[in-house]
Amino acid sequence: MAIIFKEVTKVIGNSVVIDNVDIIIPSNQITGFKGINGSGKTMLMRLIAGLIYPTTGTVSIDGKVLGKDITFPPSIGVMLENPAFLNGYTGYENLCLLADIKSEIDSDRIKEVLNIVGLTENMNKKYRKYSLGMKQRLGIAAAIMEKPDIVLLDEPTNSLDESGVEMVKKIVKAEKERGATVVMSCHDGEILDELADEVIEIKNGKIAGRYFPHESER
Amino acid sequence: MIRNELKRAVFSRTFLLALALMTLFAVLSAVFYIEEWGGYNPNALNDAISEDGSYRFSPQFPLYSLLSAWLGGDTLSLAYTVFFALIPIGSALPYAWSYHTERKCGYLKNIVSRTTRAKYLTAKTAAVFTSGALVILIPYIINILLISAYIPYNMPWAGFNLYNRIYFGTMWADLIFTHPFLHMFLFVMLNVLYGGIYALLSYAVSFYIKNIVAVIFAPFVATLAVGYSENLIYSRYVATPVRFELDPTKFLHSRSVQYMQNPWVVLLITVLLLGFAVGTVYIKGGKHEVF
Amino acid sequence: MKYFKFLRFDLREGILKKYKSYLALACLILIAFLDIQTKAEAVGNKLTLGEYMFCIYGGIKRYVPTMGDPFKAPYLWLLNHLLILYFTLNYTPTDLNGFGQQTIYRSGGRLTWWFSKCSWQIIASVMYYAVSWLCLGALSALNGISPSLEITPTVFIYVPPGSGVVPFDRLNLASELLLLPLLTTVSLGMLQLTLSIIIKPQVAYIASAAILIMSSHTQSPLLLGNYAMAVRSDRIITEGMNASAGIVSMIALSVICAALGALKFRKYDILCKEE
Repeated sequence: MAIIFKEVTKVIGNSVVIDNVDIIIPSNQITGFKGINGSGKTMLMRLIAGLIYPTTGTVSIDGKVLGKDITFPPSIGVMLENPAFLNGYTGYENLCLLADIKSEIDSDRIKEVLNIVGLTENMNKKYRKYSLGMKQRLGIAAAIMEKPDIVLLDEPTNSLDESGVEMVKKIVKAEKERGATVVMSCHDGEILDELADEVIEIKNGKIAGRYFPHESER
Repeated sequence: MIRNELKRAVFSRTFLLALALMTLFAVLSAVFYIEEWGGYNPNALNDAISEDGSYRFSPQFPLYSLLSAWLGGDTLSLAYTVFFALIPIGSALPYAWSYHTERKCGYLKNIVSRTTRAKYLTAKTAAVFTSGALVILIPYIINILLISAYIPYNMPWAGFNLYNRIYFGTMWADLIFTHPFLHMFLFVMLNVLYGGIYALLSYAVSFYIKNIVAVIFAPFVATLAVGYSENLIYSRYVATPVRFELDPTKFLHSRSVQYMQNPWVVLLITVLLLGFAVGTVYIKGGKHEVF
Repeated sequence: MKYFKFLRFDLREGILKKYKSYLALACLILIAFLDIQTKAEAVGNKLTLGEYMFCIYGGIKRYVPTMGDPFKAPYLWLLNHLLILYFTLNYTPTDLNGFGQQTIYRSGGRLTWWFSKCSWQIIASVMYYAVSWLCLGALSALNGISPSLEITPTVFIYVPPGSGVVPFDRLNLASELLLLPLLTTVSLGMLQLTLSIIIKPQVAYIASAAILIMSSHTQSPLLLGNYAMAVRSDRIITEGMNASAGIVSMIALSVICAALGALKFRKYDILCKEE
């Protein structure tokens, strides 16, 4: 699913958070957003997810404009900022609640995904008792469990230990192999350079540059 | 630390919102009396109630006075009803929720690693109290200034207490006939004190409840419950004809709205509320684990 | 189908799990019932269920500002409405800032979420009243009180109607005692829900509180709280509030709020907002 930003500007209150952005994110590619805190990476992801709409310009998914032709991308998994779940439910129950909306997957798939993110032992623990790292893993699980065509991961390695970071790398590569379009942001440039097919640098809501980390290998 | 907290409390959008809300009703109360008593033409009003330059004594006229028209003397307009009812909300809106928010977003961790909890809690308490107090003081000042520009001052007549609703034995009743402006000042200060107390009560509630909406509105709902309970208690358990006002939003009024204001009862309630609020802040705040 | 999934979730999270708030309201009804019962028994009056409800939902007589007669707020009436509005205030904004963000994009449409919340608001208000009525019904049955919804002029001892009373021997006030208070809470709840999204939950509650307080002070068809006061019905006093007009106004307000909220929510920026 190709994602196209066409002259997109987003103003929130008095701040221009995204300023005249023109990018094409090809399908079946890992695209990395690189930038300092507050540069606009999360806002771009929110625009792709359809959670916010541009003030001017358009964001389209496979030719369909968000906010006009479609409200949300038809198949998307999102992990933005601090993922929110219900404190009174276990990790497994939280995922079941979300999976029930589209009813595309069964409990076996949920357990499989929890295993992938390393939460099998804690899946029956209440969410309020999860550590920050466990919450992050659950957020990643929620994003990938329905095998969406677009996967958005905002700083997925936050709060994760070394094994967690390796887990994220494996997941991102596996999602690409599956055919998904992966968009991720990471403060660790090395991880982005290792995983991403294309890295887009963002500064003050504008595109500051782009490069292909693996171009020299071709 | 106190300076920073005060700055955040007073120079903020929520303070302005709360101030606008309370000032709106204070101004509406003034406008009601100015319209009702023909105050657009103060000279004509003055001519009607004075003769040969001196005050024309009549049981009716003492009512047409600044002392009856200011917010604390108003017993007629819708605006005063809403103003007093919303005091618990207006005073909590500016800053009473700040501890809850700082704890939730993790800002508290930054604070406790840099200063003692006692200093932080003291600064916070001072800021919360000040913001709540100012939100009540400023509308009063505006109301009194507006009224005094249009309605003349005349001394009420003690024999007309049925209309003045100042009964002998009511808190500070003697002052209105000897030092009326002192009477007005004391009630304004009592209201300002309770503006601060209601803000502190909301702040104290945030140590028990983790929901910002509940934190802001709990004292308001509790005050309604007190208002209802008061009627219940008096109708069932108190046979004496003399009944004292227990509901702060009623004893803050300089007139006896329903029951009589007794200074000792007011003092007791003030001490209890202040004690609860400050006690909770320092005891629970000192023990609260910061995650 | 997704709408029903959302609704099922809202009913579970927003109603079943909030049982403590229902208990709180039931306590209020119990206290009010005992108070009225004590007063009635002290003078040997036997009130009907309708008369008990009149004492709770009747409100206060039309207030005419008069020197020497300050306004006294109808605390029980205010508490009943404001408690329900307080309990239903925070659910929707909390969901929108939290778990709801995960569910909204999965649903494929924003309005599914919005209309589910509108439905929840209405059902939650109905549930609070159902609990109150059940409570009253049970207390009446236990005390051998007549289940009739008719009132007699005896009830005016407890809720004075003021001047201009329409003479009657017995009057069935089913719509004034059951439907209108419920509709008032529903319509103010919908207004609150919409304002929570458009502005802030705090402002929404202040608006609800202000409308109810103003309604108790001033009789006006523009202040919807008036329709919730049975003592101001045009069947009780001349120049009172007309029930049919009230029903139409409140349904209209609810529909307008739902529609306005939908229009606003279609383009609403779903962000993790600070409180």
